Amino acid sequence: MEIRSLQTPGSLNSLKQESVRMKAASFQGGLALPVPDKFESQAITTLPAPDRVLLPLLHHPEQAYELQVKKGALIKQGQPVGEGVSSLVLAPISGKVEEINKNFKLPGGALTTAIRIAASDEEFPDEAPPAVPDSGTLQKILGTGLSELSESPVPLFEKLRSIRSKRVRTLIINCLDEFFIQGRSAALASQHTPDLLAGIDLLVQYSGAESAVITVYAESAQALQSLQESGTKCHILPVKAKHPQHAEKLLVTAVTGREYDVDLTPEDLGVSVISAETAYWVSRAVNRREAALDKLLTVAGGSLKEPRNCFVRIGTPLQEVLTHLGQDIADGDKVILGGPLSGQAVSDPDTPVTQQTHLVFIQKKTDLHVFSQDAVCFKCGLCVQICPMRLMPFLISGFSEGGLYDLAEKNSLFTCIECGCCAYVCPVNIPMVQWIQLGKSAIRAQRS
Amino acid sequence: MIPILTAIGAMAFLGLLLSIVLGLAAKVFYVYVDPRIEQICDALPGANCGGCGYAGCSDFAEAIVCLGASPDGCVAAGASTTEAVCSIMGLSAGLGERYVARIFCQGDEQKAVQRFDYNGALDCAAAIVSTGGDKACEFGCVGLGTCVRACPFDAMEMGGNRLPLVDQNLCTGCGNCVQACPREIPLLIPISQKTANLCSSHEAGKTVKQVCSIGCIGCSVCKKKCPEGAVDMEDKLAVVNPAHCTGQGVCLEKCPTGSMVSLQSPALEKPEASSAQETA
Repeated sequence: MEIRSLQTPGSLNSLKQESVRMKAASFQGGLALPVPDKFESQAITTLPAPDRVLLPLLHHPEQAYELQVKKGALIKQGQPVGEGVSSLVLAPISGKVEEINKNFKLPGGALTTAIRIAASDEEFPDEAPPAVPDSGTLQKILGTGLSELSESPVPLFEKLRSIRSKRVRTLIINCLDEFFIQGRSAALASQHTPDLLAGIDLLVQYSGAESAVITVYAESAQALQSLQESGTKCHILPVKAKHPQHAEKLLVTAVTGREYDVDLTPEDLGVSVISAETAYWVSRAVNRREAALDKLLTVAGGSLKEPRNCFVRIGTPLQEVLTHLGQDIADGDKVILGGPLSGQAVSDPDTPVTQQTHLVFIQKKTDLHVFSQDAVCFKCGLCVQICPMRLMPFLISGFSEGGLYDLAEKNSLFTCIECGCCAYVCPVNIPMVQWIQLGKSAIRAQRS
Repeated sequence: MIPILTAIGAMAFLGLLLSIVLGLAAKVFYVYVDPRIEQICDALPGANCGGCGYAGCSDFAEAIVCLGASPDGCVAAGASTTEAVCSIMGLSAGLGERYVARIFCQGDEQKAVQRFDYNGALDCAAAIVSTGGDKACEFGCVGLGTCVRACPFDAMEMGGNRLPLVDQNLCTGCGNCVQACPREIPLLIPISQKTANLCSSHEAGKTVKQVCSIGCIGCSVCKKKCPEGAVDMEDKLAVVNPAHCTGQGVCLEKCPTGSMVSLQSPALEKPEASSAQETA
C-alpha cells in the first residue's frame, strides 16, 4: 500500500524506520509519522503570564462547577474560582474578575461559563501565591485541581481512586504526542527527567500499582537516552511512531499486545494510562507545592521550522502565544487545536488555552487539504486497510451521509476514535470524519 | 396427418382443462379491491413525496378509501387533484389555503458576518456538528443547500449569495425542506401572507447586530406600531400572524434593520435574472 508522504518538516528516513519497526511495539493500521532528520528539540520555554486570561470552567465535561467568585472580585493566583465535586479550577493569574460570561462557546461548540481576569499587581504585595494544601498527598492533588490530561479528561483524584479500586497493576505513562515525535511529552522526558520520574514514582505509590511502563516513540532518541541514563526502575518501552499511537486504546494494545473489546476499559485489563504531563505536575505539586497553572503546549507548523514546546499560562489567548513565538497567521491559514488529522480548527484568535489544548498547529493556506463536496466513494478499501480500530470507515461514513444512522451504528460507529487516517488516505477526498461526527451527534440527539 | 391432429386435440384439451382451473381459482381466491383506490392513485401526482404523511401515493390512496384519511391531504397537488379525489369519493371539496415554503433568513454573504472559510462536507447538519457553520449567526442559514437537495419538486435552488430561493409556483408545501434543515430556516406559511419577519434569530439585539446587518434585533417596534396587532414577540423575535396581517406595511417602514419584508414584492420570488445567468 502506498501512503502519501506527510507534508511536515524532515523527510522519511525509511531505512532507519525499518530497523526500528522490528522491535518497537505497535498496533495494526495507522499512519507512519514523518521522522525528522534532526532529533534535537529546542528547550522548553516558559511564556510570560498574560495581562488578561479567559478561563472556561470546563476542565471536565461531566463536572458541574460552582462559581466561587463574583464580578469585580479581587483574586489571588492559585485561588479556586470554580469548585466541582472532585476538582478545582484555579485562578491562573492574580487580578480582578472583569467579566463572567455564562454562555461562552468553546471551539467544539459546547457552552460553558467563562471568567475573564485582568491582571493587577498592586493588591497582593507579599503573600505567597500558590495555595497547595499541606495535609495528605491525595488532598494536595485535590487542592491543585490536577487533571489527568489525556483525551478523556478526568480529575486526577477520581482517576487514582478508580485505579486503586480496580487493583490496577501497571501504569502506562504516555510520553507520546499527537503527530510529533519531538512533541511536548518527549521534550518533558528529555529535559525534565527528574521531575517526571519523581512524579511517576508518586503516582505508582498513590495508586497502589506495582510498576510503571514509560512509552516513548522509538525514534525519539533524546527522550529515550535521558530516561535510560536516569537509572529509573520503570520499564521503558519504545513504540513505533505512528498516528494515532497516542490514543489510549491503541497505546494499551501496543503495550499489552492485546486488542480488547470496546466495552472494556484499560483498567479492566489491569493497566491504566496517565500522561507524562500529569506525572510532571504531580511531582511539582507534591514536592514543590506548586499548582498546575501552566499548560505544556506544542506549537508547530506555519512559519516555524521545528515544533516549539512551551509552558503557557492557562487562559492565555492563542493570539498571544503565537505572537510571542513570532508566528503570524496570514489570511486563509488554518489554526488547529490538536493535530492536522484529528484536531479542531478555530476561527477566533482569542480562543483561550485550556487544559485540553495540547497542540496548536498552523496549516498554511497552500498546505490545506481540500475536501471534495461531491465525490463518490468507489470502494477502493484504503480506509479499511488503514483504520486502526479495524472498522470500515467508508461504510459508516456513507451510512451517515445518507442519514441511515442506525445502520452506521450497527457497523460500530461509536468505536471510531476520529483519528482522521481514513480521510487522509481517501483518494477522492471524502470528508469521512465529518460524516462520522454527524452520525454520532445525530444518534446522541435522538437518544437525548 | 394423424399425429398432428392428435397434438392439436391434446393441446385443445389441455387448454380447456387449465382454463377451467384458472376460472375456478379466480372465483375461489377472489380478493375485493376497491376500484376507487386505483382511480385515486391515478388522480394523484405520483411523485411519492411523502408530504401527506404516508409512504407514497398508493399508500395514501388506500388510506383515503379504507382508513378515512382526509382527501385534501396531498400537499403536492393543486386544487384540481383534490377535487378529483373528492369526486371519486363522492365528497364535496372544501379547499384549504395553500402553504408554501419561505426562507426565514436574509443573511447573505454581504450581510452576515462570516467567521471562516468552510471546507468540508456539503451538508448543513454536518457543518453545524463539526464547525458550527461559517456564518457567525447561530440561528441563520448555513447556506450549503441541504434543503435544496431535499426538494422533490425542483422548486428550490441556491442563489448566488448562498441563500436558497423558493419558486412559489412550483412549491407544493410538502415540508421536506423544513425537515431537512438542521435549523428552522424554511418555514411553511400561507401563500396569501403579506408580510413576514425573515429572520430566525432569538439572540439579543446586541449579538444580532454583531453578526448580521439585516437580522431582527427584537426591538418590537413592529409590534407596537402595527395597527392590526398582527405581530407577536416570541423570544426576542417578531412573528407575523397571517390571520391578522392586512399588509398595510407600517412595520416595513418602522423596522430599523429591514428584516421585516413584504411578501408581495416580486424581489423575493426566484429571480429570473439568476437563472438567466446560469444558462448564459
